[in-house]
Amino acid sequence: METLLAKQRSPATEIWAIGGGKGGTGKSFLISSIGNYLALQGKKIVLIDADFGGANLHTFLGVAKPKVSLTDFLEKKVPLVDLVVESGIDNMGLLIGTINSLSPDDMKYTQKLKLFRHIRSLDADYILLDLGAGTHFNTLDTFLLADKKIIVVLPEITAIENSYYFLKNAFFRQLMKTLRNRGFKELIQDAWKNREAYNIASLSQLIDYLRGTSETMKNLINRDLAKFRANIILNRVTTGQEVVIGRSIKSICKKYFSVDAKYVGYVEHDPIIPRCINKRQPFMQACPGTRCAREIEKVAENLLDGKDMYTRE
Amino acid sequence: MESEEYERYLDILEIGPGASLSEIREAYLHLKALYSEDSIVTLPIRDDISEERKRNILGEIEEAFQMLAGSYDRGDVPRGEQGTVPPGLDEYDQPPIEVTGFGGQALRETRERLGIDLQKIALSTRIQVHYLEHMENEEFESLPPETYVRGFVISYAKCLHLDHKKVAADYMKRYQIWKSGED
Repeated sequence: METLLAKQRSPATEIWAIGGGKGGTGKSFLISSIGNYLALQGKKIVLIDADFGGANLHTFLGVAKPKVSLTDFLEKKVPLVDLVVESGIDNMGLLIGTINSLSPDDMKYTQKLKLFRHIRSLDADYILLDLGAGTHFNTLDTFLLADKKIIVVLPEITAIENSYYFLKNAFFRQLMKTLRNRGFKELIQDAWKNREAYNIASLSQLIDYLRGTSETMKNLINRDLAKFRANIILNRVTTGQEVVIGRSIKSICKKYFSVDAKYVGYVEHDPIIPRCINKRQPFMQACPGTRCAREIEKVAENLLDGKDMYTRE
Repeated sequence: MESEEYERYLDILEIGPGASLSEIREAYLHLKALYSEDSIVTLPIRDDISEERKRNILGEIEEAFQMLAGSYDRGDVPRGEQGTVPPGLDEYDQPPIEVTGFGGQALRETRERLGIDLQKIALSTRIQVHYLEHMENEEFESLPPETYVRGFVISYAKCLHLDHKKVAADYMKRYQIWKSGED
């Protein structure tokens, strides 16, 4: 499936999405900084703010709010590429995903499919998606669109908890799609409705239960799991001891949720970052060579190479 | 040990092929603590996972470590595709570093054997990387005044789990020799 999709677009185009459930973890900061680094390497980048209800990446990059919005694309048939504005950084275009509606989450299913199709065909080396907080199904679907799925976690218990929810929900959504296409919809609904009788208290247990129902089901689930890989970034690290938290989360993903993850790196806490954001200066250009800037570069390199910071190649 | 078995055990310990014995030990200690103690990483899902599942995971981790450690002891580790020895094996064959006194070189060798890069030491100790480099190279003239150097050495030694009193005494002796030459 993935190779099929890859063939449809320019072979070099890759979609990266950054999510993680909790708000305020630094998703926008990290993805725009990673984008900035890639753009400085001469890669063509389109950065998309996919927080349909409250897109604000333009503020982040210090550019004016674009006059056109996704509504123009969805309702007035304005080509998506016309919504890409200058980001103030060479090689990097910006697309603000605001939907001007009282209930922006009510995007129609067909509209969403159209949007995803057009995102995929944008002309770029890397299309970077900045997701909103929470686990709304539109957010999850946008996450599932990506070739590289990135989650940002802070060394705080609530952020870690939210990232588990996010990953489990995202995976479950993908699995539901697969199973629905294979005519297994009733089986899942039945399992969930009678979850007490089957002793199912969590998504992991539901997946375990489904795996046990038949060999076909087991193979389908394992295949979907193999496709679903996450890349973990640990943000706002304050001590050396915290660095290892990313490694622990990766292990939990593997051993408890059977999700293969890579720990692509950490970024330290630095008070200069909020100062840069408030001054609307792109961090990678305002503070090159700082420890945080180098850590972000390392994260971007690991994402490019598909490397984990603890595994040697 | 068969290649397949070797890979399966490394996979349980979540490390790549060619891991050194010290990496294996480090991964084992990390995972054992992770799955037997509550932490901010495990508390959010504590009730999702059955005790039996946790016991099974711990059992697998223990088995993987015992089998790998045993095979490294016997030198029975699968060769790579071109008949190359995993880097860990060579490393293991080396005699332990002989430390007669802790100078900059001994600090560097200890650090390198533990597979820790200077960035990590810098993050943990809050000492800038260039100072750590000067410490390892014993470029005393590029270091801040003596009191700071002593503090740096102690932090660095603690970070490597060394006896910091012994390290500081050895290192500062060398520092004093240099200083008396300067005066």
